[in-house]
Amino acid sequence: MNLRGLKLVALSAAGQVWAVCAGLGLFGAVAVLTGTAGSMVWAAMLGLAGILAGSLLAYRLQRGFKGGYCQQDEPAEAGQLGLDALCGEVLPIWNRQIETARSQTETSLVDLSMCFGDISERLEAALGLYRNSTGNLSSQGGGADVMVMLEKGQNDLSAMLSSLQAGIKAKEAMLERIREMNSFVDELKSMAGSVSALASQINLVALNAAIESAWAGEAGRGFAVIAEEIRRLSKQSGETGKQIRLRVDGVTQAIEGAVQIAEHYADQDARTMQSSEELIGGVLKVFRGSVEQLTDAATQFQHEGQAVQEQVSGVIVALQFQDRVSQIMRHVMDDMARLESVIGENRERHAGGEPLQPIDVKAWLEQLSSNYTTLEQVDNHQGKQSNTPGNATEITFF
Amino acid sequence: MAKTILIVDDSASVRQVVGLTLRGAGYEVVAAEDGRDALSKLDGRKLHLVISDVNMPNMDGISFVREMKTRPAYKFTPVIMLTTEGSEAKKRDGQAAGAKAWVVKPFLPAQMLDAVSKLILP
Repeated sequence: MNLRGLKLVALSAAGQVWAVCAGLGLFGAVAVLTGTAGSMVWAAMLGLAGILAGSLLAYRLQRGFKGGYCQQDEPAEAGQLGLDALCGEVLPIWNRQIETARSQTETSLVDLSMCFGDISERLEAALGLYRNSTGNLSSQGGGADVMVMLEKGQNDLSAMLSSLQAGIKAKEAMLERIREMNSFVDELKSMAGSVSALASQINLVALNAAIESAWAGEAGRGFAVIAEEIRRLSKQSGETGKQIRLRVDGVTQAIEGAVQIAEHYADQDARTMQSSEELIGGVLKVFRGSVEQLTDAATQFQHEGQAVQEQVSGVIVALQFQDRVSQIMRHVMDDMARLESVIGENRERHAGGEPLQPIDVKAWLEQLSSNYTTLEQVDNHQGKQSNTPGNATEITFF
Repeated sequence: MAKTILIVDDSASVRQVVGLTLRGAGYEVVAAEDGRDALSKLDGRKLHLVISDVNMPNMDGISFVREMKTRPAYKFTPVIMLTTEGSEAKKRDGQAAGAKAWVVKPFLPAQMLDAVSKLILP
């Protein structure tokens, strides 16, 4: 067996595995940063184990070749040292171990991505719910609408206060008219007094007429009847004058009472008006303050929500590393399987006494590199250790 | 009615993150594990777009797209290749097979959605 070829192939495989394991370490770091409980712990442990295993593998292979096996160029000596047998046994084990790590990584990544998907959906639902419940208070959304609504409410309340003030002014005008009625009542009182005085004078005149008719004897009898009737009427007029006076006094008292009550209510209305204005102003101020606070909170909430969504998008980008890791691992596994197959064939040849088939290192490496799918693999193949995946790239449209 | 997109990728996690991105934008998603599985999904259902990986077991993405384009019902269905492959030769293969865009992983969700909205059938 060509040991130099084996050494180069094995070292190349070790480099790829180390890169993958470093990637797993990166995954552990990502999971720690994103903080998904079970997956985080598992991933961190897997990452550390991966780095240790990869480093040990590379160290063992390099030390082994430099220390002894690579110095032996004769296939028979290698066979005696048991390297081909070791490779025949250990390569399938490594292959299964890598497959286990790859499979477990993929399973956990799917779980992790589902968790982030759930977080993203719940966040979107919460943002939607918040937007609906607050009437979209954010400055970009309907915050202006709420402020317009507040302004409208303030204008409506001001209009209502103006209407109430107009009502109070109308009451004051009515009160003034009632006060004016008092002067009419005084005139009525005076007129009632005049009626009484006139009745008294007519009564006196009628009495004189009755006396004179008595002096006239039979000729004045008819006139006496008239004079008596006039006296009766003047008496009735006097009574009526008194009644008018009484009624006018009653009306005066009623008007004064009404004026007092109206003045009382006018004062009360003025005070109510003033306190209403203060109360409405205070309520509007508190409401405006609350709306401003809610608007600020909604804006902050939306900014935070958007920031979290951007973080989730970043996580989605980061989670795609698994596909690259899986491809690199599969590629290494395929090459290990190829090496295992060649070793097996040579062992059979050796056992059958047939000449061993030398490995064409150049051809092997060319075939190895022909199937690379990532830039990291190409870099590693060329001897440059590459542990970081490429950045998210632009899209090529055809 | 939501538009339907077929995702073809052998990586379950990639199917998951692409599905997550697309569902979040309101698309319906059908997933296939490789080219052969994807062909079985071309059963007459309306597909508005296909997003396919290139390197997959059983049938690779380029062969799948080539085969898909031979079927009258899917001849004009736009395809976005989503792959770790970035070589110009592979891109030319994808273009020759009938792909409309080539996205190298890892992709940015916003970029992917932008490409989808540009190419998806009405």
